[in-house]
Amino acid sequence: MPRPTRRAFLGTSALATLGLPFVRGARAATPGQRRFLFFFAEGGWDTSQVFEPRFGGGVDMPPDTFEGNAHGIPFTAGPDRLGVARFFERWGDRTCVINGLDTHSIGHGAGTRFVLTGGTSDALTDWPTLLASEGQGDMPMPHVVFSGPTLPGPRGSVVVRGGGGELVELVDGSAVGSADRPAPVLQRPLDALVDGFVLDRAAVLREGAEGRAGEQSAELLDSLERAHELEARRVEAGLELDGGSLLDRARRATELLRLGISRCAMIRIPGRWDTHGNNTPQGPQFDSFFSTLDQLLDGLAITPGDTMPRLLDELVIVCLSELGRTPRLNGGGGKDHWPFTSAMVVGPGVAGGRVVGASDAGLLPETIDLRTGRPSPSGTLLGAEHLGAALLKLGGLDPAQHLQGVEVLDALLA
Amino acid sequence: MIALLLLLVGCAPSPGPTELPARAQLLRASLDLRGVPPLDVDLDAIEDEPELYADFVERWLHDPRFGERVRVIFDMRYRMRTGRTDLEAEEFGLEQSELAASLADMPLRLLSHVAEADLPFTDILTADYAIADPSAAAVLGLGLSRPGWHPARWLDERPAAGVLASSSLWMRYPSTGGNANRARANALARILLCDDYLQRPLSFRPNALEDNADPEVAIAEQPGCRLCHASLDPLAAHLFGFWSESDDDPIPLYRPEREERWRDYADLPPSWFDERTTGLAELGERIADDPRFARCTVRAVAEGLLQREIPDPLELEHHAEAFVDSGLRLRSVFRSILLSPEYGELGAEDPEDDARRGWKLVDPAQLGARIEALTGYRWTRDEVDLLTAHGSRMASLAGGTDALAGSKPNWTPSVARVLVQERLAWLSAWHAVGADLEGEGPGLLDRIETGQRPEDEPALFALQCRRILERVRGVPLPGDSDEPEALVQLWKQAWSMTGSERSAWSAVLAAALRDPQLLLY
Repeated sequence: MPRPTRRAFLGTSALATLGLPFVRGARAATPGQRRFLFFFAEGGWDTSQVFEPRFGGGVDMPPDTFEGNAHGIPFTAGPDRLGVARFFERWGDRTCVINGLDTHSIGHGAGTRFVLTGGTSDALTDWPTLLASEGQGDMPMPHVVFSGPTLPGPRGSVVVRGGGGELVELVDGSAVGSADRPAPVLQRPLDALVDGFVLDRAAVLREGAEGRAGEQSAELLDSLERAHELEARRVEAGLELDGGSLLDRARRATELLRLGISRCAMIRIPGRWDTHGNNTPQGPQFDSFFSTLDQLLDGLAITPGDTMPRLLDELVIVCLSELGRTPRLNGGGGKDHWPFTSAMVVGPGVAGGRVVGASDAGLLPETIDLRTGRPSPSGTLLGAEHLGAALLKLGGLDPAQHLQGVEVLDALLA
Repeated sequence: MIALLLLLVGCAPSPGPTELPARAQLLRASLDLRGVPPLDVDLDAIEDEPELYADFVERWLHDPRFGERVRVIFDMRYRMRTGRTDLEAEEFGLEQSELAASLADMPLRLLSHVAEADLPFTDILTADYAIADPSAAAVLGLGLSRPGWHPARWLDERPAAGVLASSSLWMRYPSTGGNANRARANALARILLCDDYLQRPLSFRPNALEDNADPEVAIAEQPGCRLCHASLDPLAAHLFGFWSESDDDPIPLYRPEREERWRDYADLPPSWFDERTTGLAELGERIADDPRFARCTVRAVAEGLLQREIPDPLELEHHAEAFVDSGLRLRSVFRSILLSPEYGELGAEDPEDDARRGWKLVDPAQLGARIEALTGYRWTRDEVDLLTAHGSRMASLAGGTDALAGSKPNWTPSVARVLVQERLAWLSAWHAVGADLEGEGPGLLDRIETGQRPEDEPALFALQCRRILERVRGVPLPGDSDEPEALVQLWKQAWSMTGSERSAWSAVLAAALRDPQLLLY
């Protein structure tokens, strides 16, 4: 039996969606209502630059740095990373750092896949796509990828890649004006009428299809409906606004999340993180990123949420990288790939002021108790899959349904 | 599913087999082998005589456009078509995109040349020539000036090793100093053997790595590292003839004096499974003799044609046998798959098979070709084809391979894909209608004349809308379909909003061109 379509659920017609109202409840945000903003440092960040201050041991630490601490979170501090210190001082109580995370890989591709899906199979779906496709509500762009990796597996229909540029041109129709043989932009009322005809046709196809073809027809209908709704709401979404900085993109992403247009967003953290030849850019890149996070959270604190007074209390920020870097500098002043990394999660439902996981003086991980996050000789070597299970739980999903046999990193959760 | 099939051919649902209708299967074959839809006359012929299907497949395997489909499918593995090159094209008097495209296609052209010439596919590993065009030849000193792609001899002393000796492949896959060609070796293993070292799960235990160990020492001594490096590093050692000493050395030309540089890095000599080799030419032969190469080739074609991951070699055994029986001619793999039951089915009794057998989604080039066949319109910007240009973001949004990011094609419907179809439908409708109203178009408006109105000619308008739908979908519309009347109503509303005949007919045609079936095949 065909499942209800988005269109039926929303009770919309082609013209009715021209002005969809936003319905805001007065309920407290539940895990299923939380939104997620993912930041990803492609290339492999050096965890000793911020998350794992290991002085006096076997790690080549950046010059002129020392160990700082705020809200119980130790971090690498120094005059060239004031933004890092400011972030932990202001937001450390909402922040959980995860260290000694096994990525099971020393390759970028495989590490990315492990960190984002917990496994190696192409059929696995990454955390943001899972959260977006299984979360509450019905959104036109469930997971929007501004930049950075996406591994949707079989759930590609909920992912929209490219938060600017060509996507904006497609959504607002201006792409037809820049062609060598252009056409006038089809104005919205007429565009919506054409949409209506196409949606009806797709619905007929959906009703007559079964099996895999039925699933594909349903995905196609879903995509059409999402595209239609996105066109109608493009002004609200601020898709026209362009901005090149990480903060611009992050703010645009949080606006999409606030408006209920998306549940998850992915943004690549700028910079060259794969520092085989010269490790020095890592420090300034981290500092710039943390300064951006600080400004972003400032904005979230004064932005009304959907179900909570502040967006700050609805939005979870997840910061990842696919690899760590070796403790020691190589002959070229760079650091090579290391299979253990760190992550950081900020926001509602997170056990703030806490460091979960452990590594020794040489950045080798120790086994931990997943409930407390503290070292335990009889514990578990912390893997990306445990972190993923915790993120799914944070978003109201049942991790057991998606990661069979994987224990949840409960220590991350408040 | 049956209901859908019958709906498409204009019949009422009833129990029956799950084979694709003959017209739909012919469309599938044509798009896969030539990248364009069949002619109406061919569709009519197959409907009359479905047994002609194998003949069409054979004919289209020898179509001049078959080579490009080979290149498209293999680029899913080679990931050459990034649209970028680090070289300064101006230095060679070329456009940047032109040079990038020429260099990217060199290895792919060798593949398609071997396939079209019906040579053993192992020739891609042993050929003593390259396939180049004048742009690539100018950069790599191949001494070729006539236009087009042709076999060309390397003028240096490089070994006869086909793609393994392709400078453009090593431009795409560079190696940093400390990496010592390992990334290149892994690219070979991934592309040619379907064995991606970086996809191997590693389980580093804390005690497996000595504190502060030099990575090169760990690679050489630690069992967990040696598991991969014992075979990867000797493979990498074959590639030092293409070693670049610095960033000032951007073109990896062959330099025989660098062959021995492996001694400065991993210090493992070139070998294949513990047997020392004489160099790159022998490596090509060893890979060609490895059964994994044939299996990987079959897998690449099957995954491209069937649009799903097929890691289980047993599932491909039949096609692999056909490949071997043919003396490793690539056409045999295409033929075997296109004539297999799975290819022609839209479902199956067995639930596992049923989950695999659905619609295929057109890639950006196929979408562009389908629209062009109907309207004569191609979507270009600054004379760049947005749906076929290497590295095109629009093509990536439409589900194409993103070679630079290493992402595979998206084989599921998506918001971006339907938005691309929507804008292309409008553009092509606007121009086709404009030309048709002036009597110079593709003939989609073949029943009405300028100035006619639906209030005066309701039957004529309904007939015209019916014919547009039938032309676009390639199948007759059920006699009682209400869609023509819906399009007439759309025409009226568009007319009332715009007062423009061209806008009204463009809206009608765009609605037809946005048919979901244009994305599925």
